[in-house]
This record gives sequence, structure tokens and C-alpha cells, in this order.
Amino acid sequence: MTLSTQQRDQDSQYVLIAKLDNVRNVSTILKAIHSKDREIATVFASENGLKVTVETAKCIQANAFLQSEVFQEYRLKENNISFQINLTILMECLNIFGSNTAGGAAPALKMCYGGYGTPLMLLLEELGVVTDCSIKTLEPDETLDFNFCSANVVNKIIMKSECLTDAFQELDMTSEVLEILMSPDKPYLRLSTFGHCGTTFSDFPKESDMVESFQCTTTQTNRYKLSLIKPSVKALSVSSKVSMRTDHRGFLSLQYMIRNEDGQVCFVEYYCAPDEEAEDEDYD
Amino acid sequence: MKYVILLDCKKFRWPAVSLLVIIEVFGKTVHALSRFGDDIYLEPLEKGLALKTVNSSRSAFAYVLFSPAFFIKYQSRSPGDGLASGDDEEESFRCRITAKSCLRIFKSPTNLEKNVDRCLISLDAQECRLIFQLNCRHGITKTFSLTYQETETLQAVFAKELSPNHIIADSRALGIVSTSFKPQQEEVTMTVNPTELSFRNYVEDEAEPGRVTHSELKLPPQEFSEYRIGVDTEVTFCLKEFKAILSLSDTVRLPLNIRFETTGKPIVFSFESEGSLEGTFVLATLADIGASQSSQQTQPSTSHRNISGRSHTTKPSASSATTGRKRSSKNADREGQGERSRPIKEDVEFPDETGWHPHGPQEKGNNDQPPRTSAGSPVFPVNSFTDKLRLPPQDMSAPQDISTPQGNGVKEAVSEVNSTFLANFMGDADQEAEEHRLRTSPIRDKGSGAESDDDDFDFVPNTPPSKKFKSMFFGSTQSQAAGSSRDVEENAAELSKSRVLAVDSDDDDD
Repeated sequence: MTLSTQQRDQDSQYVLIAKLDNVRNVSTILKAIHSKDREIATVFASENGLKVTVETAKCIQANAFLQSEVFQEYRLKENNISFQINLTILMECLNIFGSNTAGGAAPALKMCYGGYGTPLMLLLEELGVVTDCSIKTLEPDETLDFNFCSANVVNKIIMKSECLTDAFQELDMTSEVLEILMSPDKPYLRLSTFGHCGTTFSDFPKESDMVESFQCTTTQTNRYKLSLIKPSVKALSVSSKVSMRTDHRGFLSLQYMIRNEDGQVCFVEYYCAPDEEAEDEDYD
Repeated sequence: MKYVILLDCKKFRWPAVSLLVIIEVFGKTVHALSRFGDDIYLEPLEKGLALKTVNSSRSAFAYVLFSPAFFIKYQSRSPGDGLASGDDEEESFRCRITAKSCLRIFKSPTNLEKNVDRCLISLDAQECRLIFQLNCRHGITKTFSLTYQETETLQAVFAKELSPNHIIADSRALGIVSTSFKPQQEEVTMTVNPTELSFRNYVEDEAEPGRVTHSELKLPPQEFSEYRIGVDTEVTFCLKEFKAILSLSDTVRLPLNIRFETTGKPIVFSFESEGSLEGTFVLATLADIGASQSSQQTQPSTSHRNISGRSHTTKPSASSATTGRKRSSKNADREGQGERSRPIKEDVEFPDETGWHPHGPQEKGNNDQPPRTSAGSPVFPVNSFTDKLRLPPQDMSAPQDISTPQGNGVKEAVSEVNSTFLANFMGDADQEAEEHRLRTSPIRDKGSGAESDDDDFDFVPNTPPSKKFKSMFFGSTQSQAAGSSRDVEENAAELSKSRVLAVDSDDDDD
């Protein structure tokens, strides 16, 4: 009775098994959507891969996509598996061997899920040391569907993340809202805050070498709750490129392209509903 | 848009010094000023852009002037301005912005140097906003539109030319001072004599002398490019502000001029680069109130004993004949270290022997200076303290010559002693009238000072009684214990009137 056959028997009970040589490829992506006021995440597993969703205040939704190609082994028995899990705890377990991003031996991960009602099992191994975690899963709630489709996109800007990172980190937190102006005319892209001491604008011209693509059809000014959108700076800081899109309703989609240590590209997406004091948001 | 000032951030060859980046200097100036006070006063003048600040207890003042040569373009008034409303031509715009908002703009001066190409400061009078526009690399523009408050000019009154002591130091020579003391150390004492300069941490209440760390740093005069000591003295000032001054003078790489006289008189630090930049920083120095007070409170013999005792425990290095100068020895200056105020003590001690314990502070005119705040920063006597001693009302804003002879002080102090003596023998009613008379003059003076917050820089006497005061009272002999606490209360109440003449409580004792 070899270890491998033993394992194969055990594995048969799981509806999802995912193996990864470098746990950091997953933990970095999940870190981009994690913040202390967004602890519960919904995990969807499909044949394409894993999608982890976090929502705040029904206006912001952050999604992390881990396509099946990222994993060394990805086996799914059922289709459309979903469960909720405490993301803070998941992150702690994934980083159990330390969260240092320095090179060197990275822990390997094996993730197993037995189906509805069973806990998520994590097996992490680094240099022969094995850690075994079992995290309770929760009943999956309905996640919002922002109904954001590319057909309705009015303005789209793709730019390098570094300049936006500075701008986001320096945002005046005494302001309630972040106003984003996108326009085919000057100032092209403007981030504004209205704080206690005054107003701050950051203008990004389309000619800038930081801007890779600029497709704006109409001038749009939308305001988003700053406290909710600020956490997206985490995704900005690990990503190389970001795409900002707004649709006709003023909903904002931020897509971050993150390159992991093995050179694979993963995406993190933020959907933000505009801050409208007068009317209620309308989700389909 | 009214006033326009353009700062170039490209490397600029500073006259006389090596390459310096303008916006980094500007940013570091903002940082230094924010360590002084909460607000930065901006004043675009003909001669340049003035940035000033004062700390909350009005005991430290900073002023940096950037001359037009510092900027690519400097326009301190819009065309056609000034004469329209028939105003005085010299009428210029003055405003004050919070240091916090300024710091947000110039958050990291070194990063600024890397990222920012140009900075434009302009005033939008219509919207009442002060606009800082930073042109960063990659074509990104950051605009900060700050709200401001119009204000009167901020002026510190001091006469730096007449100081007997003058030192010119390289920031490198004094840089070691910044690192030599504990970060929480609030005040530092600088002692000078022709042969050496020393810095000591200032320790306030030496309740347990054995437990307090004493650090001393000595520098030989050779370290300084100029070292002229006219009066051997020691001055105590706030370390936090001193460090800010040192770091700024290090940034601009200019020698620092230090001019001071003696205890209680302000110490003035300045640097100047002809035609580009000039900085002046005035710090109040701690007036040696404590020394004279305790001498009055206690019997002469015991006081001596205490003092000598204290000197020994706290100053193990009391080798030199500088015992008299030591802070711990409350009667330090008594030994005649050029403290012209000391002669007053002779007169003040007299009441001791009659069994009446004066409220020491009253005799010393110094009490009229607002006592130190609980934060411990020394008080900035804008005008010479002898002013306060004068009973008839004085014009507080009149600039005073530091060299006003202390002789006046002596006479005035004596008359005060007499008046309090008199009070002793007077009936309550008369006494109140007398006190009221004595009180009215200072009130008027202080009142004017207190109201005009933004007016010509006057000290504000509404600061709480200093710890030094309290400790001095409570540390006095037992016989006085009851009286002291009452005294303190009375002092606290009357401090706003600043002339502490509370004699009532003592009458009960007699």
C-alpha cells in the first residue's frame, strides 16, 4: 500500500482538488481582494478555474480569477461548486509558512473540498514540513451581478499601475468620495477628492507614456465612496497594468493584470457602483 | 489668478554651495515649519515669499524667506493691484494654511525631487483657494486647491544685532546634538563660556536625582567658524524645534548663526544665502524663575544646603567652578554669572525673615511672562521682561531693546515687594483696592495681547501655570505647605492677569 494509492483513495471523496507548487501564486492574488472589512468570500469552482468574490456594502465587488492553468493539478468532479469562507483565515493558512515574498523555497499547496457542508482542506508543505488546515465553509450567498457588459462600456483607459498607485495612496482620506472624470477632452482622466483642507486633483493626460490605451467617447464624471474604493490600491500595487472602464450608468470596472512568479497572468476585477445620493442603485 | 509663483525643480546650482534641488528645499522647509506650529503663514512680498510659523504657546517662531531668485517666475502681486482701493501700496496678501495640508503636498521631499518637474503656487482670489500645482513626470499633474484664512502678519519682536554672544556653526558640527539626546527629551540647555560650549538635557523636577539620566555634550570652540562669547551664560530651549532648525540648515547647507544673550532672552538662529534664501528662527529660552523662587521660599541657610546637596547628587561632573551655573542649583545665577536680575533677590529675601513668605513669582518680574505650558516649552518674552514690571500700563507691542538695563527691574521689584508688604498690613478692603490697582495695568496689557491673536506677535498669557511654578510651590518647606497650595490656586486664577499678587491667603497665616 503505497502512499500514492492511499492518497488516490482519499482523493476520490473530494469534488475539488487543486495542487499548486507555489502557494504564493494564489496568496498574492487573494491578497489583492482582501481587506479587513471584507472577510467573507464566496468561492466558485468551475472547469475554468476558481473565482473568489468579496463584496462590500452592496456597492463594491472584488473578484479574483485563478484559472485552472495556474494549478499544477486541477480536478473537478461536479460543476458549479460554490461555498463561502472566511478569507482572513484562508489567507492566514496560506501564509502559514511566512508571507515573505522573497525567493527561495515556496510552500506547495494542495486544496481539497469534499462538497456541500464539508470543510476546505489545505495541505501546505515546505521543505518537508507539512501543515494541515481545515476551514469551515459557509452557505454561499447570492452575489451581486453588476450586469456590466462590454457593449455598454462608454470609456476605457488602460494604463500602467505604478502612477495610479501613487495617486491612490496619496488620496485625501478626509474626503468622502473619489470623483473620477474620464473625457475625450482635457483633462482626459482626473481623480478628485474633496477633503477638509481643500480639493485635490490628479490629472493624467492621454499622451502620457503611462497610458497604454485611451478610448473615451463621452465625458463622464462619477463619484465613488472613497473608503470603499481605497482598498483597491492593494490590487494596484501588485499589478502591472490596470484597465478602467465605465458604462453608461456610471458603474466602474477596474481590471488588474497581475503577473505571478511563474510568469502567468491572473486577473483581479473591481466593480464599483457610483455614489448616487438621490436615487437607489439598480442591480439586475 | 492673482499671485503666481513658479518653483523649478530641476537641479539648480546654488550659489556658493553644491547642487541642490529647489523643490526639495521647499518641501523640507515645510516639514521644518510644521514641526514648529500647526499653521504656516504665507506672505508673498516684494522681496520674496515668506513662510512663517509660530508654535501654539508662542514660544518659538520660524521665518523663511525665499527670494524671487529662488523661483523661475515670481510675481507677488497681480498687475494693477494695490492702488485700486486706495490702499497702502505695501498692502500685501497674507494667508495661513494648515501645516497638515501643506505636508500632504510636500509629503516626501526626496520623492518630490524624483517625480516633480515643476511646482506652481498661485492664488485664486475668487474661489479663495491657494493652488499648488505639481507637474510630475509622465505628464501627470497634481493640483491641490487649499482653503486658507486671511490673516494679519506674524511678527516676532527681537533685536538680534545687539546680542553679546554670537556663534556661527556648520550644521555638521551641531548635527551631533540631534542624535545625542533621547527622542522624548523636551528641552536642552546650552552653556557657553569662552573655552567651551556644552549641551545638557534639561531636567525639570529633580525629585529623584539619582534616577534621572543626565547627558552632556561638549564642543570645543574650534568646531565653529565663529565663536564670540560676550557673556558667559546658559540658555535652555526646546529641543524639538532646535532639531528642526538643524535639519533645515543641513538641507540648505548654509552655516547657522546663533545669537543669544542670556537666560530668559530669546535665542535667534539664522542662515542666509545672499539673494536666495534666508531663515530666522527665534526660540524663547527658559527664564530661570525657579532659582530665585526657592531661595525666597526657604530659609537662606537651608536653601544653601539644599542647593549644594542637589548639585552633588545630580552633577557628578561638577568639577569646574560652574556650580553656580548648574540648573539644579536653583540659586545658580546668584553666584553672579552675569545674571543682572539676581540683585533683586537681596530685596526679595527680606520678607522671609519677617515670617511672611512672599509668593516668589510676584517679585520676579518674570512672572509676567506667560509661564510654560504643560508641554514644557519655554515662554517667549516678546518684550523685555522689565516691561512687565512697570506698574503703569505699557504699550506691549512696542519693540523693546533687549539691553534695557535691569536696574529698572530691581527698582520695580522692590516697589512690588513694598506693595505686597503694604498689603499685609492693610485691611481686606484696602488690600483689594490696592491689588485691583496693581492688577489693572497688566490686565490691559495682557488683554490686548490675548485678543489680537493674529496681530503683531504678542505673547498670550492665557497659558496654564507652568509645572515649574507648581513644583516650586509644592517643593517649598513644610511650613508653607498649606499656604503654597492656596497660592497655586490663586496663581492659577490670576495668571491670566499675570501679575500674581495673591496675598489674601497669607493674611490668614499672620
